[in-house]
Amino acid sequence: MDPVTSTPAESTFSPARSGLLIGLIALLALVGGYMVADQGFLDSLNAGTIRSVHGASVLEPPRPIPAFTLTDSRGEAYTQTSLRDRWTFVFFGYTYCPDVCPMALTRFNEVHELLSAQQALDDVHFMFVSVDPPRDSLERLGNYVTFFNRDFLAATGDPDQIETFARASGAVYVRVPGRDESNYLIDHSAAAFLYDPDGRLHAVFNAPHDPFQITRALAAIRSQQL
Amino acid sequence: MKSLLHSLILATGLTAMQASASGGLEIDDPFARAVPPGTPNSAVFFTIENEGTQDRAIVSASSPAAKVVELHTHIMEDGMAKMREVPRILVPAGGETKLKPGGLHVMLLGLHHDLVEGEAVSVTLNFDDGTGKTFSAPIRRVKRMMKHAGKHHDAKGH
Repeated sequence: MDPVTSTPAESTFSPARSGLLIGLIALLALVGGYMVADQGFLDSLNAGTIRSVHGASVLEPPRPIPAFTLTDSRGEAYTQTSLRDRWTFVFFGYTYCPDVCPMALTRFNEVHELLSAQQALDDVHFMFVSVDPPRDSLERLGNYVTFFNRDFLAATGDPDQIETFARASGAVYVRVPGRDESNYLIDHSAAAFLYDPDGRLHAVFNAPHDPFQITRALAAIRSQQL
Repeated sequence: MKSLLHSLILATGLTAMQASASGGLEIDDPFARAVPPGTPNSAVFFTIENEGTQDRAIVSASSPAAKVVELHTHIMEDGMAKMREVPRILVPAGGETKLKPGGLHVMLLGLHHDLVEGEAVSVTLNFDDGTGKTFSAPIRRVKRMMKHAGKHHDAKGH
């Protein structure tokens, strides 16, 4: 600890000097804050505006995603470049999830059907990223997502790689304390995230998910983008 | 023989008492969510009506289908959906309480077998007055929002 601030002499400082001291401390805190802040945090500070489009939060400008490497349920690498040249809906969850994830995947199955009926499905992908790699093997993940739709893919990987992708997207998750090792729950974002063909986070869809709204929002976003 | 008869009378009497005590509570449209093979957790949903003149509460639940059964709700906090155990679920006098996806539910933790669509699970609710109610919850997928009859078999019946 700084000896100056911890001695009784501090109380004898003139207002001007203590003001300077407070300013210095504030500056140090700011610099320290930047030193520990990660890129996702800085990006969020610089995140222009959010525009609401049919219930979706559209980021202006879209947010770049840093490099990450996961493995998908087909056993192939899934990285930030996998997001390119397509529109990708991503949901961060886990297969032990009793309610939120089955709900979301059911709704996105309906989005899939609507897009299919509109013949607008070709360049739209659906990805479920497990934030629970200790329990979610690739095989389990594959079985899980295809139960909802055979076109759905899942991915997971090292915790730090998942965190890189999640944090840059603004997705959060935390294990609920006080449960045993085999059957813990995880609090996680109930939102779905949409990435554009440049591989940037383009929009966030908060729960509850309405397939009609989501489909309308996607059409509106695409018409502005293309 | 006399004691056996006595026990029988006692048992019958207790059953009758239980039935009448929880008789004011009705379970409507119960279902357990079908889950992908190997998924260890699921949930049971229903509407419970209280035709009586006193507030009642569900204080616990059990099922032969799962290792642990808990009463849960969802709260949205810090942008996260948080599932939390609740000590009781109130069913107001003359009213009803809905347990539905995204809200209150009976949580099944550690399923003993896959919940396959078309089958059913038995669920017992225990109430604050010491009575209980057992019912069968058909296993089905989440209700679709889209009403049209699509290629998917779970579109029927809505």
